[in-house]
Amino acid sequence: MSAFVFATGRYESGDWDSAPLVPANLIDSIARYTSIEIAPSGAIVRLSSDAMFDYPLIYLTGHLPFRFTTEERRQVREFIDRGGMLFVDDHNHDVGGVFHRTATEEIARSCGPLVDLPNTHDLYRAFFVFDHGPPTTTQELNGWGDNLVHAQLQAVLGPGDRIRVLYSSKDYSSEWGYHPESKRQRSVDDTRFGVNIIVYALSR
Amino acid sequence: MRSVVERTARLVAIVALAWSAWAIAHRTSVETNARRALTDWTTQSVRIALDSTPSPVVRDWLAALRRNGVTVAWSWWRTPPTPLAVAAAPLADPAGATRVAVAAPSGTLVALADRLGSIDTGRAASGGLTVVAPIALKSIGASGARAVIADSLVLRPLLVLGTVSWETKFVVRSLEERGWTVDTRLVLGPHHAVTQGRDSPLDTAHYAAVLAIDSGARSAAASIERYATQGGGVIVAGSARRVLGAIARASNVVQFGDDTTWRLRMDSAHGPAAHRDLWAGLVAAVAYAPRVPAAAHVEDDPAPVASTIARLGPPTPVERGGIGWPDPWVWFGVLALGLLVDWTSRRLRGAP
Repeated sequence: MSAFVFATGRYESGDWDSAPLVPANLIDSIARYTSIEIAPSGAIVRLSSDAMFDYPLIYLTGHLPFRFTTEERRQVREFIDRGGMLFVDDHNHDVGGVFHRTATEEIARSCGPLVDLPNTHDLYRAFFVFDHGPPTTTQELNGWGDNLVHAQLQAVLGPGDRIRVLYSSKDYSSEWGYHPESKRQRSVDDTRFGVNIIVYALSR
Repeated sequence: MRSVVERTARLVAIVALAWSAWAIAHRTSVETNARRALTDWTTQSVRIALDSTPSPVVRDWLAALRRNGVTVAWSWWRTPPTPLAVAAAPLADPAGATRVAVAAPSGTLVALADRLGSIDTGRAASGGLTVVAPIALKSIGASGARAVIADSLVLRPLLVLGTVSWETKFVVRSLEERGWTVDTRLVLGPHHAVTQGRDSPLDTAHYAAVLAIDSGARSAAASIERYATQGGGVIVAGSARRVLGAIARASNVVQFGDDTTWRLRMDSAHGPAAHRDLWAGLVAAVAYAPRVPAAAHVEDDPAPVASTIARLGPPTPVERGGIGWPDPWVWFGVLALGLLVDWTSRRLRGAP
């Protein structure tokens, strides 16, 4: 059986590599909490490459304007049609930020309309239980950015309310962007929601 | 003298033409002729020459006459039809599929069709051929034979066992897309499992088949073995073969070595359909699916030649007594000849 590989998507526009510590942190959490067979290091895959079809879950983030090229758009559309899932996180956590505006527009154009994901969705019970929806990030609480707590994530849903694209304005990329060794200094592991996303992608 | 010949030929042609028109207008089918003859015949004896296999109604009629003391003798009018039998059964596939089996002499070209039209053709080899039609058929015809298919199968849910992985995820996804209801019990840790659907007992009253995708099925080995002995279908895939070795020897178990079929789904635009077909085919091969029998149908005539001989006995030579009207082709020949003689004669004497 092939091990799960956490893949970060590389796109032509913007800064795709703005959160380089997130993959290692989530890999550590998956190994820590679950028995999922997982590769010890992540992969970086170009969205214009056929290699993206080897990684049915792809993580995208950035601060800058977000646009797919024509080839990337075609590939991404094909990717989710075959059963892949994208997790896109706004590294700016701004309501009207440039990444948010361009990314939501691009996702709607490439993959379908984004809708608010109900906080009762299976995602929030895939492993850990989050009764109140997506966990709040420190960036939302400390007033840095738009000074709002985003109560819901957004998603492009498929049949059976399966998530095809998960979009977050909560800046989990900043929240999870630290060395895994630092987890022991935290009272609550904030990457637990990342475990839910991966378990959900692997099981639904 | 010549004009007499021409008039005669023209008269013959006109008579032939009129007769042909009348014959076509009043042409009756073999079935109608047989029914009329059966009605008209006395109760002494019946002699019949068949140019095709009679319908079940005519067969039964003749058999009833024989049972009532009438001497029934029959034979084939020309070449006997090819003895052929067809049987069809629905496959355990929610999308609908039918396996059609035809018994026919090797080399026979068999045309399969239903009420809506042709489905497939094939040449029989080694005594027959088998075709899987990707649709749920109500009836199937094969070169004169016709079988009515049982109404439906009872399709219970499937149970997928394994670990949380791309393979289990996409197997479940493809089977659900195919129309199956799928329950899952996927190991996620020593004290965690991802479950979907009901936590029903593992028996044939609740599940049509169990799919052990990998070694995550180890803890259910005893239940799976008991299920297999009940007649339930089991698919043992990937690393599950190592932990379920004893079960794999049961008759209703399919072993499947590849545990990365999800790549088939992701590899091309046709991948999802190919992946669905792959797993639906494996499940259909083993699934326990009780059949709801269809009521006997008058159109059901799966082996017409064999049934004719079974009902009426072997054919016997019969005298073709009486003077019957010639075949319409003979009349057509007479008509053509008359016109030709008339035209040739007129041309030879220079008339228009």
